[in-house]
Amino acid sequence: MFDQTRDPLLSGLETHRSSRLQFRIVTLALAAALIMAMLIVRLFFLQVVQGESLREQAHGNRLRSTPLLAPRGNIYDQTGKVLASNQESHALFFDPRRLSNPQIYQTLQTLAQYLETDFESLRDRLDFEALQPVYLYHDLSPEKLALILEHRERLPGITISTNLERHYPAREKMTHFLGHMGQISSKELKDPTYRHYFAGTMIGKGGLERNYELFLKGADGKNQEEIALDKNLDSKRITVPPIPGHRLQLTIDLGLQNFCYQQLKQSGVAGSIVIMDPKNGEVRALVSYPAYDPQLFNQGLSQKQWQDLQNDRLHPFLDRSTNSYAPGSIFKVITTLAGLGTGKLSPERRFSSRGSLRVAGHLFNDWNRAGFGNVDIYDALAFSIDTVFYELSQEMGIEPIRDYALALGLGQKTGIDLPQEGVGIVPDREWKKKNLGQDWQPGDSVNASIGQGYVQMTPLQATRMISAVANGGYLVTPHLVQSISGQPGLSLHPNAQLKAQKIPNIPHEHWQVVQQGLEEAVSRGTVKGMQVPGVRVAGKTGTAETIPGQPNHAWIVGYAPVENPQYAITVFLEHGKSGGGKAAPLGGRILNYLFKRSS
Amino acid sequence: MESRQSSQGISRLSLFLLVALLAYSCLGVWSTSVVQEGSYGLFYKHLFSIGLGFAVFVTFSLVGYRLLQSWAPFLYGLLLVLLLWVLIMGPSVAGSRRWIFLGGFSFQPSEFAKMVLTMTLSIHLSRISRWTPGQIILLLVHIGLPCLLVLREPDLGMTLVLIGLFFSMLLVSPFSSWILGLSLSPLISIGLYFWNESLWRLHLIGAAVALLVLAVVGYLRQWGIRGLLVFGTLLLTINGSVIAAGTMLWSNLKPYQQERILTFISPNPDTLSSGYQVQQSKIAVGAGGWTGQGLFQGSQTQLGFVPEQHTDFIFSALAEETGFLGAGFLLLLFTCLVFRILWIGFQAQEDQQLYICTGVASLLLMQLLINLGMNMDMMPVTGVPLPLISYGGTAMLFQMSLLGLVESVYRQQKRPDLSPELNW
Repeated sequence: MFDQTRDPLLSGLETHRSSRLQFRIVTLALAAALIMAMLIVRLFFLQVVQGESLREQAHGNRLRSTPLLAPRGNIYDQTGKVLASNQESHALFFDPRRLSNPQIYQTLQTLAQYLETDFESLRDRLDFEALQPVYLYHDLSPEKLALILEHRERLPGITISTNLERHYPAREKMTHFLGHMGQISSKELKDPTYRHYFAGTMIGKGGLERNYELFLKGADGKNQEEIALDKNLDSKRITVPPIPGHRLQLTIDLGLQNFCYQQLKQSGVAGSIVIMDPKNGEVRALVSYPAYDPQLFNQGLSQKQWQDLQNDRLHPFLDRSTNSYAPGSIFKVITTLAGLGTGKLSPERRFSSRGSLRVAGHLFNDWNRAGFGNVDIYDALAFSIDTVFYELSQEMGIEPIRDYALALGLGQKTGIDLPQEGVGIVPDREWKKKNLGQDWQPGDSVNASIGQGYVQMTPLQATRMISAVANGGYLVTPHLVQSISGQPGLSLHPNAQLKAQKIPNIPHEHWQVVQQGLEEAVSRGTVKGMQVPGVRVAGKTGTAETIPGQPNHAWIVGYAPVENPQYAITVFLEHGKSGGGKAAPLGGRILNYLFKRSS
Repeated sequence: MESRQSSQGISRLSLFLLVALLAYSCLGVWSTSVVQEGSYGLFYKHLFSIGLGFAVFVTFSLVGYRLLQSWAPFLYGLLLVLLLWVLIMGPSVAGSRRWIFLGGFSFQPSEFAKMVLTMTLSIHLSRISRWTPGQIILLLVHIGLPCLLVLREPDLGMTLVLIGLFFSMLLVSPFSSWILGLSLSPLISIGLYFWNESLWRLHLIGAAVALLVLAVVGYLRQWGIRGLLVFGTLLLTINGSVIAAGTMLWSNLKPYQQERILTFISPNPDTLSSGYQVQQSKIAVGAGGWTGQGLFQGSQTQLGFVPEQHTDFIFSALAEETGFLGAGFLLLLFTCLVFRILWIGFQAQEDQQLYICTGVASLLLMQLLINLGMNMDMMPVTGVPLPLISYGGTAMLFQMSLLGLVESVYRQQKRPDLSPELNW
């Protein structure tokens, strides 16, 4: 205790001047000096060293920029009917800059309740480094929009932006080639193609939406406002107007497309129908069934919807028009041309059809075990007599068949303006060695000659092949886009330069043989189901064996009218059993529809 | 001896520092309330609390610490009652009970604790003549009771400030350096661990190696440093085992128990790290540059980008609008104030004077460090206002009363005969 009786000054000196306490007091003073120096140095660092950049950030805070979204270009069919357009939808943005942490927390909590999502998913969208409004939620339903507008004062920092969303009136009927919209993925963001895009943007996923993204997109504008400190002054405004996206006009015929989709749907099996102008490759209808609703992706698929679509036995996401399958007898077109080209076959040659043929010790049956007797190549094409082609394959070997298949565009991309397509398989010795590690057997050539075994093609390739027969030897490039137009009067024809290519080394007479054989197939052979009153139709069926125990794939390819072909058609029914029985009547209904409509 | 005026009234230096700091305060509150929000209400309230604070300052400096210390037991009792009251009856605001509302007034008992404990601890410490274990336990109860109550609110920041106050006063007492070192070093160790784990590991290894070298050299040279070595080993063991035991205990807790502890430490369910607020405050400070954006011209401040700017984040407004020249001068004023208080303490004529000055100076320092640190993005956000500058009546009142105590010490040193007698 402090001794009252002694002189206070002396006592103080005695207590504090002891060297130990003196040291401690100096320590305290040093700590104080250190803390104050640290604070002043930090202040200097922020204001003088980093001042320039932080001042810029402060200025950035004053700029309030609202994007003016460019409407995406519409897509029309060949007659100007709308295939894809834009509709208004509402998205949520959150500006946390003026809010304290508890406010941010509460706003997000409340919002999560209204939106019926979890808080974490909203919180994860915040970015503490980038001080700008963040995109929170897309496509509010009218009920949720009303709920949020009603409770606006409980949700500080939340803004609602009205957006344009893609609308497809035909829904699933042409989803595979039109594609759909979806949020840009982090992987796509790194792609230089999308360098002007930012997270959260909707981009075309798949189909034409993706292939023509840069035309359809247009350029977003912005409404920028520099907020004035003085509330009496107007803030500076800069408006950069958006540039609307280009519109696409397609070669597609909406009525035909719808009709084909209905027909395919009624058939009850998965499949594809392709209808194309054989002279120039303009695709009139490109159908794949089953399909999915492209507008589901605007809202974002729920986990359940996605799972259901993924687990669907019929794989609705698969575009069957560009997927490869065993073609069956439609491949006989190739074998015929190869036979004619190698001189092994002539229109005059006669064959004896006995219902089967023995090759290298194996017995290969005809589809008609009874046989057809004494026949020529026209009969063989008309009735799809297998043994004729077996014989030809044994005389030629696989090489000419391979060469003519390649010449007619098989085994390679057709060049259609879609992001993805299958190439099929044109097998030969090297292919088998490389892919299966086995030697080529004589039986393999036999199988290949009737489009069985390893041969595969896509319905689109089949259409291209039959177009070449129809137009007398020209290989066309299938395409969907007729023209791209931006400002009025300015339009682009991206596919106009795609001239039909003359297939070399096949004389006119050879094409005539095939054309006549296919016309006879419709008039008196296996494709009778495709007859159209008063119109000359040519066609070929295909029935391809698939996995043992599963029904065969059913095909027809054809064109009409024979004298001046306007339509090349392919009908493919996955496990559709029989080309003549199932696919041909379907093709017949479509051709009847087409010619009835035009007359 | 100084001039007559200073010894009779308040010293000129104190007056200058106070007026200058309060002028800054008025400027900041004016800018963040009147200019920004367009209402005078807050500013008038602030002027009122400054007036009241000044009256308290003058009263305390004139009445003197000696007279006030006779009220100390009563004040300590009142403090405990208020802290209990706030726990039982206080309304829960943002997950903690810190405020008492009486009529139109609101009052924070933990601010009161700073003033009361500065006084009672200074008396208690100055009366200890022999440091017996019993005395030490009594001292621990003295500081521990209010600390536990404040911690229960919960207000971890204020609890740490009060513990800091206690240790700073212990530092200038004749209390054993060894024990002080032993009890302080784990705190530093824990801080280091949370700041940077590898640095913490490095400091333990470094200390162990130094100790080993010292032991070998000491043995060879036959230095009599056995005591130092034992102390060092003890220190090292404690530092290491505190963290080891802590992490082991933590990992053995069930997740819900961990959750409970975390919500106790930080009752705001605020998982947004330092968040936008600190980021915006940092931008505001930086945007000031050398000379500032001009009074009432700061875009961050006037457009309201920094929340709670008239209270905890007032420094960012002053820094943005007055720049390094203005804000640096403010820090200089604070430095002068802190050193003036310490200087008065060094010239103490009796123990209690030293304790009071040390307590007031270290309270000021801790609050400056925490508040300015969070304004400049060096510290986590805790609700500690900037002393003498931030809007807020309770804090202003008790800060002024503490400065009044120091002033009374100064007056006592100049003219012992002027102060009223102890037993009145």
